Amino acid sequence: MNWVKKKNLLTIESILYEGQSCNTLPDLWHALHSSYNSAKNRPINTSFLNETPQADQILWPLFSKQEFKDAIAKCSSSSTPGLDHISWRHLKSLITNDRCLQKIVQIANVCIDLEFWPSHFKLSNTVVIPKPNKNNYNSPKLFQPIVLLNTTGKLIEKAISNRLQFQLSANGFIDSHQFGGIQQRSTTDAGIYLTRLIRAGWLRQCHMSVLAFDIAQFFPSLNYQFLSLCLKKAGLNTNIVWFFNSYHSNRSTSYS
Amino acid sequence: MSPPSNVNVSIGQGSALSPILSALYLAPIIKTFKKRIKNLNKEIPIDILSFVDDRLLISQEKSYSLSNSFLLCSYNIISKILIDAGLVMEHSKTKLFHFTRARHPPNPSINLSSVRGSVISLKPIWQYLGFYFDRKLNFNYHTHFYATKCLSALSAMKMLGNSSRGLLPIQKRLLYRTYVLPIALYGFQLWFFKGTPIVKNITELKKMQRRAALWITGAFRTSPSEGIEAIAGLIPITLYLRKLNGRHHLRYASIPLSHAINSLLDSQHTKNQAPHKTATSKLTAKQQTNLMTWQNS
Repeated sequence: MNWVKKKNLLTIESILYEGQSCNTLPDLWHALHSSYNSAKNRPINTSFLNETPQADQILWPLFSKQEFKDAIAKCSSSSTPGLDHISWRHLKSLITNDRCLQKIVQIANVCIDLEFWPSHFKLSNTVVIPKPNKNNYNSPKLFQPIVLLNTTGKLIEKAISNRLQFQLSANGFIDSHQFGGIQQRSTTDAGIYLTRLIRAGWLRQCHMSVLAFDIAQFFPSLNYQFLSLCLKKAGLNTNIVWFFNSYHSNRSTSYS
Repeated sequence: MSPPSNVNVSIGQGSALSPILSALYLAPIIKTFKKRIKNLNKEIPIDILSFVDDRLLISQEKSYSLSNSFLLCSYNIISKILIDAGLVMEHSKTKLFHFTRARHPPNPSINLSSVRGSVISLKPIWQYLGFYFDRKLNFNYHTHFYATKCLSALSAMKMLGNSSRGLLPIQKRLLYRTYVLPIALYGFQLWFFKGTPIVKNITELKKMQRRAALWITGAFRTSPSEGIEAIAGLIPITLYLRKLNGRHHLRYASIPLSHAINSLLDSQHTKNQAPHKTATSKLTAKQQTNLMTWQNS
């Protein structure tokens, strides 16, 4: 049994950033921070947005208690909490009390009403872990940032996200050829769609060719101004758009 | 732990809103791409498929050179739109793959140097969303990969006990059914249907299930598979696939109106969506019988 023997650890190399190795902690934080936020000031050209049609207006009624109960039911109790150490387990038992739940619903409604996202929810802790099965770990790109946020804030985000999921696919803003990040559209669906297209193409005596490409640093490189224009195009109220404006600004994170 | 530093990128990783906001961000990009393709003076048979940050352009054409040039053209268009939206494509990760049923098919490469890419080298297997596609779409490599993965998981599980102590058979069975089987059967919907050669795939999975049944029951190596499967309380793999396939078909009754799969079904199931040009309703009767994708096998 070879695999039960002691496995030697890899020889440690220091992380290289822009040709220089990071030997002190401040250097390391700087390297990690700038490589995960490399897309800060990229120019954008929003003129092509005029080509997309304006979607129907989305109504935004007040949140109900049930929405929060649904959102928390899917959370894993064992996932790591944020900086305030309130885990999902605590929150789940809190929410069984009707008055506590009422307060959380109130916070969410007031957030939307005042177009404001509290700074307490914006603090996060980024844990950097190595991506598995790499040969060496000498570049920040070979590590994966895991962002730990405040759970109460996350619960409200989840309720908002569930609502957006439903509304945006109902008013047809999200294209049917997008399979990721949307409820009821899975990788299997994408695979089935692709294989079905290929087989149908073969029947018409065609060769099927596929060109796959991906986007570098996808999440960090999404631009806020562009996103807020998209939100307007999707038919969301101005106060929701302003809420997202507040949601995205002045976030801070600490690395560990 | 470092001192807090400001993050001013729009979508943070870890937030529950990220998936939906990223989908929102991409929606106008894909819409504009489709519109620009339509506006070209010649109609180009290009489809686009997107999964968070993985995008696909699909072309169907009778000759390779034509389809390659169409792909190149649409690649140019999409990269321009993406740059406008502040996104950068990773040209080094772009992959080209041809699907064909010909016996000795050519495999022409594509030169992306006009868009700062390079000449793509083609490989016999293409991995996308965890599926391993081969050129003839028989998924032999795919099932082999996942069955091997599960076999190694099963061998590792032998650590959980020996012949006298350890897990109870009922716990082992639970572990196998919840942890191993779903991995082994990932993406079976893509190859498990009538009219396709699936014997090889089934054999791989049967081998894997036999090993699991031996581990659960602790039977001798030479015991017949069907017997130990029955004692271990496992459904034979073909029957299990048939059961899952039935449920998978039932799911299509409940998918939302805007789902892309709807556009491929026949006219009474499209739910007000414009049918795709290869939808079942647009195929001839003979073609429909050849394409048994949606029928229970």
